[in-house]
Amino acid sequence: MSNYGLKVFDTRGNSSLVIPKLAQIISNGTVTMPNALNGDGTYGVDIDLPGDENINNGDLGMIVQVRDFDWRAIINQFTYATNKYWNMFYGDDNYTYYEKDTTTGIMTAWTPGDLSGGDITEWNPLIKISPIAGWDKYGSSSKAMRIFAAIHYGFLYPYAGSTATTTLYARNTTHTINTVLGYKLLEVQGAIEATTSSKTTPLSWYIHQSTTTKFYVSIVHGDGSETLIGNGIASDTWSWTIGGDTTQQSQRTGATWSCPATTLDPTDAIKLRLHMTLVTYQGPVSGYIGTFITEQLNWSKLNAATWTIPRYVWIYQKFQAAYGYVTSKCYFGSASKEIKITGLSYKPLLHSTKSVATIGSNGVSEVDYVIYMKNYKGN
Amino acid sequence: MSFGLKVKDIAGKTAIITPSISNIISAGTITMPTTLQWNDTYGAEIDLPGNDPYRKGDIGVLITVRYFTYSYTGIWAVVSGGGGNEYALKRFVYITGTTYYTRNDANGAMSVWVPVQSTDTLYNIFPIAFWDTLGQSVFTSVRLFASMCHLCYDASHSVYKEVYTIDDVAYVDYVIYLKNLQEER
Repeated sequence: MSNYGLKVFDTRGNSSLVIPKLAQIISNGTVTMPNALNGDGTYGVDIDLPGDENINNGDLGMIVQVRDFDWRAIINQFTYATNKYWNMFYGDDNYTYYEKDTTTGIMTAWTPGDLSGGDITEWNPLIKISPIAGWDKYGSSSKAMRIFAAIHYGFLYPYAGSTATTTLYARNTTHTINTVLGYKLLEVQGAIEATTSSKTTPLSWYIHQSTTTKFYVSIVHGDGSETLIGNGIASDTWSWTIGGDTTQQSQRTGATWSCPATTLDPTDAIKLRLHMTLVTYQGPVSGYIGTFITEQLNWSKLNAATWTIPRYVWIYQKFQAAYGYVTSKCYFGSASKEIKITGLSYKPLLHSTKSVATIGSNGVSEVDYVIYMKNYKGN
Repeated sequence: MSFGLKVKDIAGKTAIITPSISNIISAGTITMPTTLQWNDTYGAEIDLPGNDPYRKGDIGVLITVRYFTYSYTGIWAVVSGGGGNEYALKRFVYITGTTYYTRNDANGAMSVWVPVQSTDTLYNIFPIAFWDTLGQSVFTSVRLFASMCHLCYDASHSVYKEVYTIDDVAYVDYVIYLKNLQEER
């Protein structure tokens, strides 16, 4: 505590000490913020400091308070039931927002997405908004102090990531995704085997000729609707004719399919339906024997790529004229008996935070400020 | 004002030296810590002059946040629209790996709060800075608190609350002024 100074008394005997100032207000008032950037691409108002020499920033201080502001966003109203609405704010592409380089202070214009239907990267939801104001300080000393003030926004910024390749494995447990029940199709391989349902011939159809398996690939959307992108693809036919009761099983490999480039929404999932046609000398039977579905993928795109889809086929033949039959199914779930998709290429949907500002009449138009200086020598 | 010391220069100009109502005793820019204090409170400590404590009413503090960061993500909802699918957010979600704290207003103690991703909802983020009195009435130092404040809904307790991340505000500008700096104690 200071123990020196001039003591001043009032008539009641109360005293105060007159002491040297530690800091002194050298400028204060109200400033109108400009509507445009400065010539060097930075933004703000410079307040001259006394004298002609640089002053150490450590001897300076500034407090700025926002007086008048406006903000720019646009609302989109979703109707989710009769007379029931869901409102959400987004960036407004009619206005210019600026990203600020925190090292140089240079502002770069950014235009938010235009809310185009079907393209998630054109949708930038607003999460935060607040006025900001302060001393825009660069370097170690100053002849003038820069007042920066703006409305600050945080927008979610979805974008397609780099191409990635993955393998999806059919697993032994089920889940319901986008209203579809199916065995899980995950990026991690399991160790527990499971089987599809089987196709079985009527009695007396007992001489196996061929078993054909193929897949139907759909995109299942968030509301349960589906878009078929692969119609009976990666077909594999296993032909053999053997007399007597016999069990034959084989990990069928090599069947491929050229997946077309397909735009995805974040809630989309991929569904595989496995179809089997069992042909005997007496006739064919066919139908779907299994459904597999991914989780909601949060991907932006399936790239055009060649998928390879192995499947493990099991066939039993009861070789008897009156009571003979043939039945077949597929195993999956483990590394030794598997159904999987390899070569799947996609682009993930990624998110970052876009921190931007609007300025002047679209942001902060007026501020109050105080500038103080330590070690002020005066004139 | 009817008292003071009048000082003249050789040109005859005068100025009156008067007692200060308030004195700025500390000011500048300070880097905020990235961890809690030993007693689980948070902030930067600015010493006041002398050894005797000052009353709360004699101290004034102004703080503004100079630089902050934050991050978040969301769960999308896809809605059919006339011009193609439209995209909203079902909710904003917390960032895995980020530590969120609640703050006890009575004593400034911070407690870790772990959000439940599937139910707890975030709905605003903003920087906040203030003099944290830590529940005290006299002071030998001033605690500057500054962080990003997250407004959210804690579904498991059915309450709206404020939670804080302490490493998102890097710098603050501050001024501390004292009244009755020279008071005899």
